[in-house]
Amino acid sequence: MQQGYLANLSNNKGSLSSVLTLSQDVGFSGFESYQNQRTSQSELKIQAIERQLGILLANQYQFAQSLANKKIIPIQNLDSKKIELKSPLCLNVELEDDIFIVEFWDLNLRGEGNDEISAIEDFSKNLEELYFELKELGIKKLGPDPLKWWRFLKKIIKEIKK
Amino acid sequence: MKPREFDKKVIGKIKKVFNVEEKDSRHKVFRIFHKDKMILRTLHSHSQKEISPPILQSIKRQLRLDSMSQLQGLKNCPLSAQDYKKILQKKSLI
Repeated sequence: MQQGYLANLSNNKGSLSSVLTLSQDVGFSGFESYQNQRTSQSELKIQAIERQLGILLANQYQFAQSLANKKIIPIQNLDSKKIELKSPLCLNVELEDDIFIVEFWDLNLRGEGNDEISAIEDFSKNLEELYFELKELGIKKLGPDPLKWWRFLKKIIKEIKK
Repeated sequence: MKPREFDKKVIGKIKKVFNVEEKDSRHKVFRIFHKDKMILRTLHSHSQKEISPPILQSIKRQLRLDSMSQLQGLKNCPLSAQDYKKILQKKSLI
């Protein structure tokens, strides 16, 4: 243990002596300018890190704000006399330019309104219209996308019998 | 983009290559047909003086375009009706 301590001391002595040697070699003013140069380099590095941190925080803030304007709402009640949902639908709700937009991408369908409720009501009515439009056309008149929509609608919608 | 511009320029261009049925219900609905089959469907509100950017984004998706510049291209000149048809062909929608 004592040997270790001595070795450590000699190492420290070594580094101190190398600094002294350096200061003797370049002179004291040279050593001072070398130290100043190192300090200014460190300051530049810190400034660069601060800038990057600022950018990162700004991005994080923007991302958090965009998330605050977006959410997913499940709906079950379409408030329709003709159709009802067999299972809930999860809608993407987004607030942009003071308009609420409700979308369901699987059906490429949206609703819009000045508030969430009216946007969901609009979506529900559009869903009802789409269902009966596709039903009226019949599968022979449906292209690839509308056919997918119809197959999906058949799974999730039940017609209300009077 | 104004609704009238959309109807006249965008839908007008699509009409050159596809059959488009217009339906005035709560919204103005456009049903796009190819060889007697409905391939796409889009709509916009009657009440809007200007179609807002988020609604245009949604219309872009409904028309199966990849970017807003393509939608602008349909409205103005760069994207022809035939180019649009090719886009839909590539996506196996027609």
